[in-house]
Amino acid sequence: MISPLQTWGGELPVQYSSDLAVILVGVYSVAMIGIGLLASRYMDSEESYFVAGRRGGLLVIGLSYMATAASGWGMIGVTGAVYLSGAEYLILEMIAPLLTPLPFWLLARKLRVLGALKNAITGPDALVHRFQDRRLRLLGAASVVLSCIGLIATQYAALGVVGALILPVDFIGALIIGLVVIGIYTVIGGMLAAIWSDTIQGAMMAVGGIVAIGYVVFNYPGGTTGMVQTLQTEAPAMLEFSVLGGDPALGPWFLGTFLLLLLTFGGVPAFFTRFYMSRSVSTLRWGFLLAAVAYATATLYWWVGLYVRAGEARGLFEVPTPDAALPIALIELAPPIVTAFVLTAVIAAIMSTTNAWLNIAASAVQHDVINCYLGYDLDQDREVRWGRITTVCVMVLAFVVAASFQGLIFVLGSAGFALGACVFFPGVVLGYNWKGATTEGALWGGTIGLLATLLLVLAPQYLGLQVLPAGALGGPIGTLIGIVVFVGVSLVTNTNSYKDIDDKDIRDVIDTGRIRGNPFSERAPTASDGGTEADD
Amino acid sequence: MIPHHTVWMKANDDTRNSTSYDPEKTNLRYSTLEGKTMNFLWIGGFAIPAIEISILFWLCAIGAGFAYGWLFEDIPEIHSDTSYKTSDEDNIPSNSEEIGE
Repeated sequence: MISPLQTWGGELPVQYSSDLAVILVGVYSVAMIGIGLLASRYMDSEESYFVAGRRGGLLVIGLSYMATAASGWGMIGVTGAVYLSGAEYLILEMIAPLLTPLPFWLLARKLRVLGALKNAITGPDALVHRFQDRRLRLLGAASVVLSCIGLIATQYAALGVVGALILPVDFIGALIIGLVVIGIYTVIGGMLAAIWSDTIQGAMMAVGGIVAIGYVVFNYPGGTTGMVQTLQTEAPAMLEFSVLGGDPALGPWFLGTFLLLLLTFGGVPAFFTRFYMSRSVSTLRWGFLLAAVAYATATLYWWVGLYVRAGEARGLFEVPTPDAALPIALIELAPPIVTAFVLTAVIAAIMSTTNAWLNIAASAVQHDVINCYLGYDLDQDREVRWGRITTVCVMVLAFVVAASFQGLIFVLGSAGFALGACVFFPGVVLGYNWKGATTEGALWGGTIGLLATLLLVLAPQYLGLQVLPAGALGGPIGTLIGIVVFVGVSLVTNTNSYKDIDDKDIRDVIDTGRIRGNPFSERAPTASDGGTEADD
Repeated sequence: MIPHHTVWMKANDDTRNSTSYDPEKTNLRYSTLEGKTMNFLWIGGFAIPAIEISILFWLCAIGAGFAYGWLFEDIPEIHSDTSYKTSDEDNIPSNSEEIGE
């Protein structure tokens, strides 16, 4: 994504001081630690730590799903990109609410059933059960950890930038304060704390989006008409269609790879966890709709970029950097309490997204590598303890990588999604929807996809090699390479294609329809576990 | 800053790149769009296609969510007939080790 948020160690050159905002951030932080402590009372197994005991209700699943896809990085960065590039980029980003919930259609029922049948709790679990090869466990775990490091790094950058704007500290001070809060409630509360905080974050983002755009539209001189008239006369390029930049090669390359990124979102392992943790299959019924509505509401922030650009053209604002577009609009056009609330919502979004990715990475290390691959049979207390230790390790590792990465932070972020999708889109999304998928296809497709993604993302940063045309995003192309290899190899091999799978459970999961169809109707139903719904 | 250069709207591009740039003339792009290619998206009171297109995306997303929920078929709680162990060693049949080796 061309989100301009790319600052590591920098601060927004915006004068803002609000005791109210400091208090709100403080209250939110204390509330999150409280949630962590509360959630820790339910931590008695690996299942409860990493998939919240499979007690997620509709609100939790829908809002936390949206909160995983949208983050504070997007609220600040995309608004800045719209300010920079205009309505055309806004339209492109608006496709996200339509495409992001697609994994619901592709995987939700299947993975919920897989979780119930096989106690699956991670992305690599889905790979191994489908293809019966433990090497996929390591490949999947590597993909998850690399993916999470990229995504967590982007959140660290946003946390420091926005935290320094609100709190009377610098970038590093804000980052450390934020990480201490995140660390406490993540380590203590695990995924249960993550989905509770994600739910609160999702609600705050949605409400904040409506309030923010409302005040900006009504308080901007002339409202929407005034904004459009200003842009038409002062910055007409902001309203033109030019295939993103006008270069006949650059625009289509960016457009194509960006759409590819959105279309392969289904391969992001964090979404699998949302499906595993739902209380029942029926819980998923309206999750798609809730996630789509919540995400659509959260996109309202992005419109602010056009008003800020128009205001700047009229001399109303001075915008020192695109990342400052949203804060400046709020400071200038909204009451102090609204500004404080929305900026707190941004902090909340960053914290809960970081928390969720930390849990996903920790589960890959602890569950997939230590427990399943190496075969350590830990008791429940030790499982939870090791989950917490690995969470802290991943947290520190991501910090080191983020602080030492010489390239742009947004490169890490866009690559982060692709590093997960390049293995899991072919292996899980296609693997559970295509009976012809084979083990060899998953191994070769995933391995080559992961290597290609790393090469295409890192080579320009570290080796100065520009192997792709200008405008092309390397990550989605790496994913596409993985998909092509996966399909090609599967067509000429047959190990663990549908008819060769011995495990009837897995064949039934593959036969489970994306919306309708129940191959388990002949089995005797069991009573629900009776767990307390997580959003009660 | 990404340079803007009209591809989809060639006529407008010529206008913008002319030496005698006239904002009023540029505005003709909207009256040109209105009633022609973008007419089906035009909603009175709004001035830029971005709004209509975005609303269209929103409606599609919400419509897809409704359709998914409407057609969704529940699956009662199920259980496996086979027991599951934590370690891969206990779950993967031994003959799977032959794959690719």
